[in-house]
Amino acid sequence: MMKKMSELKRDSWTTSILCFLIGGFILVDTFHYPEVQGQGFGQGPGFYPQVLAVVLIFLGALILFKEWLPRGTETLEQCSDKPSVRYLPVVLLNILSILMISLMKYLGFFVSGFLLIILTVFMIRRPANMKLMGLDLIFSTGMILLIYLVFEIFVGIELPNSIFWD
Amino acid sequence: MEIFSLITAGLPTFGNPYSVFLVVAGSVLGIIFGAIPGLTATMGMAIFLPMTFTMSDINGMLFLIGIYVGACYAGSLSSILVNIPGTPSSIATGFDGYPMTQKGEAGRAIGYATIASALGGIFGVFILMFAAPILAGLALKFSAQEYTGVALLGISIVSYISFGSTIKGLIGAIIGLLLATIGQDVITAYPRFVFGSKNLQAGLEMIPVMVGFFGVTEVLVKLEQMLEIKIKVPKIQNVLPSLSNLVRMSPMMSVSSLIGTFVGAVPAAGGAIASMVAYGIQKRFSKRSKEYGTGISEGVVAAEAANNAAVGGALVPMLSLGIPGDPQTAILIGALMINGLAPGPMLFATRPDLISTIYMGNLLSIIVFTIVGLLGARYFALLIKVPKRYILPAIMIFCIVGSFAIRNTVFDIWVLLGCGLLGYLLQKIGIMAAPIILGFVLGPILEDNFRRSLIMSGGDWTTFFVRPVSLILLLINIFILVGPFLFRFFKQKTRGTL
Repeated sequence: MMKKMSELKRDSWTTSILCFLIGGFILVDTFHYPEVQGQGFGQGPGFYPQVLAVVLIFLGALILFKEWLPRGTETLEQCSDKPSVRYLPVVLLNILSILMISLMKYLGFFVSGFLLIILTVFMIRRPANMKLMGLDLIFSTGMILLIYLVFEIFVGIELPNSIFWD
Repeated sequence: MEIFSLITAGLPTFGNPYSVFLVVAGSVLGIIFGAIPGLTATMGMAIFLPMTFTMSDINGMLFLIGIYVGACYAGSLSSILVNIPGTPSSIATGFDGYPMTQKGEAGRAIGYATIASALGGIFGVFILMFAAPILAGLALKFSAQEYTGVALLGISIVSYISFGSTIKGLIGAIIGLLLATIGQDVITAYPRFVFGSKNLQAGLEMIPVMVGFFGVTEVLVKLEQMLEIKIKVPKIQNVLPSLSNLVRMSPMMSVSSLIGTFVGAVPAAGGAIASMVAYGIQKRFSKRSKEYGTGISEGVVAAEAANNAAVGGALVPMLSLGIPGDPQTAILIGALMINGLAPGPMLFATRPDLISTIYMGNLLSIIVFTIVGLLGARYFALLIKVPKRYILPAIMIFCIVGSFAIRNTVFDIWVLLGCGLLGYLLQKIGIMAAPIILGFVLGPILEDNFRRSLIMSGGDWTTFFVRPVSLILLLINIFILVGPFLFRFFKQKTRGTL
């Protein structure tokens, strides 16, 4: 229970810091915006984001203030057991996606998309099963074919081509 | 425009086989998305939204409505068969649906769920047909101050009901509102938060942001809990329920439908809350109260009639005020905006054909899922077994294609990935995607009306308090946000003094 409570506390602190950072950044950035542009009473383009930033900072402070108060039943309910998580696949998928987007210019959408799908399938299936690799290849090819038929042929969207081949 | 003419104005659309095909295709896709645990109506609509770019506004709406209605129904299948809700709105269905399956009555539970969903859905559409034009008529008299109040109402409610704490819900909504400020200022055209990027000058596109928060975030969340569970789908037989039982349950179906429509119409409430409320009320007042949760058909009927009626309810504020009733209607608003249409009261005067098509498309989708549910449930139920290792990469690639398709620019794929990652990280600290997206959709409405109100009043903030409707809306907002805290505070204080 103590561990869960400290997790809650950590979340609250993170949220508060995030609110202060975003709110502070907006206040600093909008400080240089022109105050009046064709309006009568000083309500420039920075006015509305500034209002939101102030509210965000207030909410961040409110979360910290709540940490001081004795915990009620609601916050304890939030401590319910969370399933165990694996962060590695999440990081890997993000890296694969970044690689795919970066390579799209050189390999074109279809090749890079195929690589993204098949590598993601391989990443998820652990331990690697050689027998099912054929099925994974068929699935990945089928998905790319489906996207080609639906988006390029049916919807008429031209997906990025490779700079080396069409 | 008269209510009756509004109902019939779109009928000629259904003479076009392509339009009918789109409703059917959308409904079937919706059923697929709803039946597979983890895939939601919102995700399905977000992924397939780009497919509507080349369609007419009417056909695009029909396709998306089909997905919305189909998925809302099909969430019940996995809830009943394996006790894993296909969509959040079918959580309450499993309370009695799964025990029925354990008793060997899976087919019967699906039959009742299908009929209750259909009748609830039809009820919701009829309320929509009559309530939306009346509310739109009233909304025509609204000024910028009232619209500010209505937009704030949507934000307050989504913050209050969002998973976890209200404050975090509110923080999520404000992050969404801030994301909507990126790009040129609506009034002065001054570029805000663009950091010299030409791509950001026009602001963030709605689709990559929505697909990122609803699609990519969900993929990342599912990926971290990646456990392939071997699911055994039970045998489905005797799906058709008896007429006498249906007649016996018709009063409770009507009550659940009414609750569902009303809760669905509350901005940001949605089907999940509607079905929970209806189930709770029916259980409280039923003669068989103690049997609820043990596997009685009444429990399935109560939940399913309500969550499908909530679809019609959610469309009421969306069509009449331009305020999304739930994340799915936020996507429908996005689809309308892509076609240059502004949802709200004027749409009833300018595009009665579109309004009518939405009514009729909804009804046609209900017919489709009723037929599919009663005849093909056993086949669609097999979808529950599709392994996640294939579903997640497929969703990811559809998200990427969809985001690229809106402007044919790779920049939007980066926005998609950025929003997906941001949504995932925010979810880690308890800030969910729904308030962020509703904030993002409501952002331009709120900013435009808020600033216009102040411009019209010469900077006088009391302008929001001197107009009666605006004042009432603000008081409701304050009550929603502050009321529960004050109530808890006084309750604790009273306990302490006793």
